[in-house]
Amino acid sequence: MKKIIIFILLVQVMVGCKKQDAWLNAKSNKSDVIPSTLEDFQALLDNNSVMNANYPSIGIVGADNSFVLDAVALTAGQVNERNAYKWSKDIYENSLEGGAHWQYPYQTIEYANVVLDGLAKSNISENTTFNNIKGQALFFRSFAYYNLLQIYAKQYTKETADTYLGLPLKVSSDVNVVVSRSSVQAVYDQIINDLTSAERLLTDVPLFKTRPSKPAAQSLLAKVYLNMGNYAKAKEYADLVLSSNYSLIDLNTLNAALTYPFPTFQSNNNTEILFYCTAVGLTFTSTSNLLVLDELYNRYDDNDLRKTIFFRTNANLTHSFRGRYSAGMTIFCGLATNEIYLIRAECLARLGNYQAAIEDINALLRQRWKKDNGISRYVDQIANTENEALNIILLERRKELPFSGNLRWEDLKRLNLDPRFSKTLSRTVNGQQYTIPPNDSRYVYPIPLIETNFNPLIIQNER
Amino acid sequence: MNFYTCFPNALLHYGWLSPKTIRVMKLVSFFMIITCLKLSASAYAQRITINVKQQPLASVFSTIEKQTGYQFWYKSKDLENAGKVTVNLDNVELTQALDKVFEGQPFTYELANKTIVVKPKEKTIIDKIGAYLRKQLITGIVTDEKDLPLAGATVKVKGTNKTAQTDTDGKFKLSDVDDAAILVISYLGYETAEVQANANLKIRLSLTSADLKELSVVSTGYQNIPKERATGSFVQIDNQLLNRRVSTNILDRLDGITSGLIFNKISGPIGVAPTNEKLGISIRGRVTIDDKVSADPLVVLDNFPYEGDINNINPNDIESISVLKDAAAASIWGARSGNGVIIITTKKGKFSQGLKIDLNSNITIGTTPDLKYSRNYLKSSDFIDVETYLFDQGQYNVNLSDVNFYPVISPVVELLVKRKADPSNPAILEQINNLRKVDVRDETAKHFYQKSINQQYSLSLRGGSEKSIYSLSIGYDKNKNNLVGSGSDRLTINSTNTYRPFKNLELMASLIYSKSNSAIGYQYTSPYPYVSFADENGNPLAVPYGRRTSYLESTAALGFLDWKYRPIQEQAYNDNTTKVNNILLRGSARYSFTNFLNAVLQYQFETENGKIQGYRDPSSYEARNNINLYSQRASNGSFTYPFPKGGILYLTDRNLNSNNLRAQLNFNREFSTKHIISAIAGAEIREIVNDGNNRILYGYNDSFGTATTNLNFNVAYPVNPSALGSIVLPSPSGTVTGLTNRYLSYYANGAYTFLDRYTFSLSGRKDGANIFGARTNDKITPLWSSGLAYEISKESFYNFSIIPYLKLRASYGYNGNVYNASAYLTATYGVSSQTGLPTATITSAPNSELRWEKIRNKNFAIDFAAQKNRITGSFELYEKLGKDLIEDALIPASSGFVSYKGNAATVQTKGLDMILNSINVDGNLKWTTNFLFSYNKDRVISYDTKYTSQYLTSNQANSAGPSRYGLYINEGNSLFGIYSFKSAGLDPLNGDPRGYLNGAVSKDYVNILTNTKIDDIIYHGSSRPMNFGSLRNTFSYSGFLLSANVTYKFNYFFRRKSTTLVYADVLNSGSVNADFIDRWKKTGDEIATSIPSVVYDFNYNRNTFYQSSETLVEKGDHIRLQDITLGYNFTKNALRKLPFSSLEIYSYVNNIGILWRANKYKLDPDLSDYSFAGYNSYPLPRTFSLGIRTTFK
Repeated sequence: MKKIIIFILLVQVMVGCKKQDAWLNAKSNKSDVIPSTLEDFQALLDNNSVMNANYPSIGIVGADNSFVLDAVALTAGQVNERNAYKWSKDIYENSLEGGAHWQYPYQTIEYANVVLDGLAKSNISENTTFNNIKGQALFFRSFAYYNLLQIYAKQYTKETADTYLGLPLKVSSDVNVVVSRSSVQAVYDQIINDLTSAERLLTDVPLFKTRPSKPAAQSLLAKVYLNMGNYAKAKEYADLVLSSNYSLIDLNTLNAALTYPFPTFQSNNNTEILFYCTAVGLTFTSTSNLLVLDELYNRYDDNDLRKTIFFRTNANLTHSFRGRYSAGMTIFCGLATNEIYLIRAECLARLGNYQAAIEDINALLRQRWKKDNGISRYVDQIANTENEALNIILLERRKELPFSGNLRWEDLKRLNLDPRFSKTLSRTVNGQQYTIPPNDSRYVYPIPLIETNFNPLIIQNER
Repeated sequence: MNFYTCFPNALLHYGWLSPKTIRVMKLVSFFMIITCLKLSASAYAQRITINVKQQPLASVFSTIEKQTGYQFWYKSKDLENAGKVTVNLDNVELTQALDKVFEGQPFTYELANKTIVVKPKEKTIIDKIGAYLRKQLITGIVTDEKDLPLAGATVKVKGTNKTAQTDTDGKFKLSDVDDAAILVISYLGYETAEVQANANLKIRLSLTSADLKELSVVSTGYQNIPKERATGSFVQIDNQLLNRRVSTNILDRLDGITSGLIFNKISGPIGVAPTNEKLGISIRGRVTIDDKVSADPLVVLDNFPYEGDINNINPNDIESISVLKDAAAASIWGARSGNGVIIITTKKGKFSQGLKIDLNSNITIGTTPDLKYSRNYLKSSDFIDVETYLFDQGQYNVNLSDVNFYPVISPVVELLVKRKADPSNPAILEQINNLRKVDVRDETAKHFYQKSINQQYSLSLRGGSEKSIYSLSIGYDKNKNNLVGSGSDRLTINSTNTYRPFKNLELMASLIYSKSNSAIGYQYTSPYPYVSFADENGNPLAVPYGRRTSYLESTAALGFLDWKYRPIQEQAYNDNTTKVNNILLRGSARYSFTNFLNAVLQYQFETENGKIQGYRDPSSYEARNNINLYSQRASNGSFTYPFPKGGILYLTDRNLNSNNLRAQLNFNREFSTKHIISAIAGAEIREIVNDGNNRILYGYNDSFGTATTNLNFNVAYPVNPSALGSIVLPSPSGTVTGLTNRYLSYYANGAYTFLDRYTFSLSGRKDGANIFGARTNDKITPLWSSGLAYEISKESFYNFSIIPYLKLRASYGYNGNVYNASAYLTATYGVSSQTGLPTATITSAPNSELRWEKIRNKNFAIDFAAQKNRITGSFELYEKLGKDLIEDALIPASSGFVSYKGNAATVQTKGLDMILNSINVDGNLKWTTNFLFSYNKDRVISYDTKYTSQYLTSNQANSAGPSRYGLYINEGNSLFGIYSFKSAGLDPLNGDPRGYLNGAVSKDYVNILTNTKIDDIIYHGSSRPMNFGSLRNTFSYSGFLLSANVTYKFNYFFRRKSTTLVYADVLNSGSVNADFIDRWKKTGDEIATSIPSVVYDFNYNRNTFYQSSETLVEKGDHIRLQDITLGYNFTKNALRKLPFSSLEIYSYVNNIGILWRANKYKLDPDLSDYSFAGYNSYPLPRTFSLGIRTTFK
C-alpha cells in the first residue's frame, strides 16, 4: 500500500501543476524572440538585408540611359525584365516572377508597422531612443511607399492625385487586414505626414548610414516635394540638408584604377551618402549586361572625371557603369548630397531664382572635374533664362545620377508632363523597333501577380 | 481519472493525505481483497462433466463453479505451485470430480456450505519421511519432434529452484526429486512441456507453431498486447523475417515485407526528397502538407522515441518490429502518431535460460554503378556537333569576348576559335575528332566508382538465472561505398541487465552505445562528355572550370597560385567526415503490487554528438581559388594574401540530449475466465535539447592544427578578376544554435475482453509542448481512440469449418502531428554582415489560431485462418482524414508576407491492406507464399491556394511559389498529382509541338500556358503508387531455404526528362538529354517520334509547353524481382560433433532487377531523371551477400 502511495507521489511531483506551466513555457529556439523591447525594435530596423535592400529597380530597365545586347534582351533574366525592356503591355505573362519589386518594399513596410504598433502597445517611456526608433520606422515606411509609387502609380499632379489609383496603404502590422488601393494623394499625404513626424524624432547623426537620420528625412521630403511639384517646400528641406555637415566628394581624391572607385558607406569616406540602401539586382542591370548609351556617354566632357570614374570601357568599346555609391555591383538607390544639390537647383530655377540655381550646379561640378593644383578645370556655367537654367540642370541631373535606382525613370515620368522636357523613347531589339511616347500608360507597371492573385480588392493598372 | 492534480500543494494544506489519495488507497485495497477471495453466487446441479487437457487449476475451478454453484476459496499465491490438470469426467459426483482434479496436486480441499476451501497439503512427519525416502534420481532425454536430441534444454522442478540442463546428447539428471514433483522442460523455439517426474523420461518437445504463435504479442511501446486481444491495426515483423535481408540499416529491412508501408524513393514529380520525409517511409499514405510538420512515422526504440540517427541502430540487435497503423494502435503516442509508429524492440535474455552465444557475420559486394543508365547525356560526337553549330551561330561570342569575368569556354569551342583563325590547319580538326572518341562516363567509372563492400560482424551473449537476465552484444560494420572515398564504419555495444532482487521487484538497466565514422567521397559531374581526367601515365588532367583557361594561365604567369581544377586530384584534397557517438542509457523499475497490478518507472537518457569535419588541403581547388580571388599583387610583382595561404577546415558540432521519464501503472487481470481487463495509465515528460555550432578555419595547417586568426573581415579587398569589385573576406559564421523541445503527456489505455471473443479498447492521451509563444492551454491536445474486436469463430453458432478462425476488428479515433512553430509573430536574432549590429528577422506571419494537426482514423479488419493454417491472412479497410492540416495559405504580398501557416487544409486517404499467407506444400518440402497487397488513394478535400494550370503542369520547383517540395495541389486530386497539357502531336511541317486551346489544335503557346482552364489540363494521377505490395515464395527442404521476393508498384505516374527545344540550351548541364538525337528533323519524323524539333530560337514558351505536355508523363507501374535469399541450416545431427547448436549459411542477392515496367524507355521509376543533372544518377547496384549465423553450444 505504501508503495503505491510513494509511486503516486512520484507521479504527482513529476507533473505538479504549477511547475508544468513554467516547464512548458521554455523557449524552443534559442535565437527566437517576440519583438517587445527597444533593442528588439532597433534590431528589426537594423536588419539591413530587409530594410536597406531590394527596393524596386525595374524602372532602370525601361529608362533611356542604357541598353543590353540582343542576346541578353531575348533570353536573359526573368520574363518581366525582358518585357519591361520592350515596354510590353503585359510584363508578367502570368508568371509569379517579378514580384520582388512589390513584395520587398511591403516587407519593409510590415517591419516598420511591427515596430510602430509594438511601440504604441508598449509602456516604454518615450525617451530619445524611443523617439529615434519611431522616427526610423516612419522614415522606412515612407521611403518604401515613395519607391512603390514611382513604379506602380501614375505621376502625381495636383489635379489628378485624388482620382489616380495609388497603393494599398497598410499602416497596421495586422496581416489579416487586406486593403484596396488608396488614391495617389492619400499615399503622398501619408508619406508627408510620416516624414514630418520622423524629421522631428530622428537624431542628426546616425550610428550607421543604413539608419535613417534627420538629414535623411529632410532629403526624402525634398525629393518627395520635388516629385509633387511643390518646389518651395522641396527647396526649404534641401536648404536644411545642405546646411548640415554633409559635403560633396572631390572626385580628384578617388583612385580611378580601382574597379569601383567610390568608397563604401561603412568607411564613412563617402561623405555624400545621407541614407544607404540598395535595389533588387536584375540580370538586365548587372554590371556586365547594362551598357551605357553613347547618347549619354558622349555628353561627358573629357575633363569631367565622371567620364572615367563612372564608366569602364569594355573590350568591344561599349561602356559599363561602375560609379555606384554601393562601391560594388549592387544598385545604390539611397539618398546623397549630390541629388540634394540638384533638387535645390531645380527648385530655385523653377521658382525664378535661376542664378542661384546655376550656382548650385557649378558648386557640384567643380568637385567633379579635373583639378590642376587644386583649381578645377571646370568653367562656371551661366544661364540667362529659367528655361536655359532648367535645361542645364536637368541634363546635369541625368549625368550625375544616371543609375541611382529608378531615378531616371521617375524623372522621365515627371518631366513628360511638361511639353518642354517630354521625350519619346525608342529602342531596337533583334531588328524590331519599340517606342514609348510621353505619358504613355506603360510608364506605370502592372501590379505583380503575387498581389493581384490573392487580393480581390486590387484594381490592376491599365497599360 | 484526474490523478495529476496538485498533490504537493494538497500535502501542505491537508496534512499527509488528500481525500483523493485515500480514495485511491481504498480502491487499491478493494482490488487486493478480491484477489484473495473468489466470490460467486449461483447454484446448479452437483454432477460434473469436465474434459480438459493441460489446463490451469484455476480455470478448472471456475468450470466447476459454473456447473455446481459451489465457490472455491483459495489464496491465488498458492495456486502458483499448482500443476496443470488433465481430466476426462462425464457426469460424476462433485467429490469424485474434486478427488480427480486434486490428484497429484499439493493441495487438499474441504467442503463447507457450498464453499470449497482449498488448502496446501499439511505434511505429517510420516509423510515427510516418506517423501524423503521416495525422493528419487530422475534421468531423461529431451528430443525434438524428429527424436533428435536437444542440447541445452532447461529442466526444472516446478515450485523449486532445482534445474538441470541437457547435455549434447539431450540427456539430463536430477537427484532428490520428490516423486510427485512436476518437471518443466523449456527450450527456445519449442513449446514448454510439463511432465510428472519419473525415473526414465523421454520428453519430446514440439516446435512452437511458427505461423500463429510468433504473432502472439504486439508491442505499442507502452505495453505488450496479445495479438488475439488487439483491436487496432498492427504489423509484426519477427526476427526471422527481419533477418531475411542483409543491410546495415534497420529500416531498410522493412521494405517489401510490411503491409501498408511504402518506401518513397522518389517523392513528387521532381524527385526531390521533401525535407519532412527524412526516413522516406509512409504508412498508409500521407496527409500532411506543410514541410514543417514531419510526415515520417515516429520511430520508437523499445519504449521511447529514438531521437538520434536511425543509422546508429544495429539490425542484429533487433528482435522484432511492430508497425502501428491505425488510431487504436498508435494514438497512445498522441501528437506524434499521425503518420504511424514503428516500434523497434531489441533482443533480450530470459530468466532461467542458459548462456546463448550467437554469431552473425556477412559480407556484401555491390557491382559498380551503371553510369550509362542515365539519359541525361549526349555522346561526345553529338555534343561536338551541337557545339560546332552553336559556334557558327555566334552563341559563344559574348563569352569569348568577355574580358571582365572570363567565363569558362569549353575545349572544343577553344579549338573552334583556333580553327576559325587558321582554317587550313588539319591538326585542329584532328584534335576535335579525337575528342569525339572520348566518353567521360568511362573515365568517371574508372576514377570515381568502385565495387562496394560491406562487412558485418555481430556477437551476442544472452542468458539468465532465476534472479537476473543479462545480454551483451557487440556489432561491427564496415562499409566501402560505390563512390571512391565514401564509406563508413560502425561499432555498436548493447547491454541489458535485469535483476529481480526480490520477488515483486524487477530492475533493469541498459546501455546502447554506437560509434560511427563516415566519409563522403568527392564527386564530379563533367559538363562535357569528352574530357579526360588523366593522361596516359595516369597524371591528373585539368578540366575547364571556374574561369576561362587562358585567364587562369595568365594569372599563373603573374605569380598567382595555380588556378586549374583537376577532378581526380580533388579526391585526395577534399576530406568530408562525420563522426557520431550515441549513448543511450535506460533504467527501469517494475514493482508488482499483486500479480495483476504493477507500476513501472522508466527513465531514459540519450546523448548523441556528431562532429562533421570538412578539410580542404592547401592544394585543393577550393583553397587555391579563395587565395587567388583575394590575392593582392603589388606593382613590383610581390603578393599579399588577405585570404591566408593554407588549408580550410569546416567544423560542425551538433549535440542532442534527451531525457525521458515515464511512470505507468499496469493492470492485467482475468476475472473468472470470462472477463479480462488490461489497462495502463501513466504520465511522461520528455525534453529534447539540440544544440550545435559551426566554425571555419582559414589558413589551416593540418600538421600542427593551427589556423590564421587575425583576419580582418571588415575590409573590402579588390578581387580577381577585377571586374568583381571589392569583396570582404567570407566571415565564418559563429552561430550557436539551440533548440529545446519539451513535452508533457498523460495517457490511459484500457481493454476489456469478454469470453475471450469480445474485446473493447479505449485509449486517451493529452499532450502539451513548449510551442513558443502559445498559451499552455492551447498547447494541450487531447487525442483518443477506441476499438472493438470480435472473434466470431469462438461463438457456438459458428460452424464454418473451412475457416476455423475468424475475427472482426473495428477502430475509430484521432492521431496528431506536431507543428513546431510559433503562433505569434516571432523574430530570429542574427548579426548584420554590413554593420555588425544585431539584427532581427521576422520568421513567419502570426496566426493565433494555430494548433496541431489532427487526423481521424477509421479501420475495419477481418483476420482469418483456414484449416491447419494452410491459408491465413487479413483484410483491412481504412480511412485517414487530416482535418486541421497546416498549409501555406497565400496572402497578398502587401501584407508584408507571401503566405502564412494555417490549419485549413483537409486531405483524405482511403485504402485497403491485404495479407495472404499460404502453405502450398507441407512436408519434407515446404512451400509457403506470402502475398501483400495495398491500395491507397489520397485526395485533397480542401486547400486554400488555387494554382494555375501553368503551375500545376510545371515540371520544376518554381522559386517564386510557396515551398511545396514537389506537391502540386489541386482540390479533389491526389496530394502528389501529376498534371500536363494535352498534346496534339507534332506539326508535320516543322516539328513544332501542338496543344489545344479552347478545344482546337493550337501552337499559341503563351495562350495555352496561361489561359488553359484547370478542367482542360490532364490529371494523370498520383506520383506515388496507388497499388503496391509483394509476393514472396519460400521453399524449404531438409535444411535448405530458398526465398524470393517480388515487389510491385502500380497506378502511378512520373515525368520523364527530355531535351530542351531551345537549341542554345541543349548542352546546358541541366537540360542535356539523349532525346535530342531522336528529335523531329524532317517531315515524316512525326510518325516515329514524339520529340519536337529543336530550333535556334529563344521561344521559351514553346519549350515550356513541351516539358509540361502529356507526352512526357509516363506510367510508373513496374514489377521488380527485389531479392533472393538462399540458406542452409545444418541439422542437429550434423552439428553433433561441432561446438554449435545451430549453424546457418546464407546468401542473398539484392536489387536484382525490373521484371516488367510500363514505360518503354527502360527507366527505373524509383529513380528520377530530375533528381540529378548529368550522368551521375544510376539505379541501385546489385549486391551479393554471403553470411554465416550460428549459436554456440
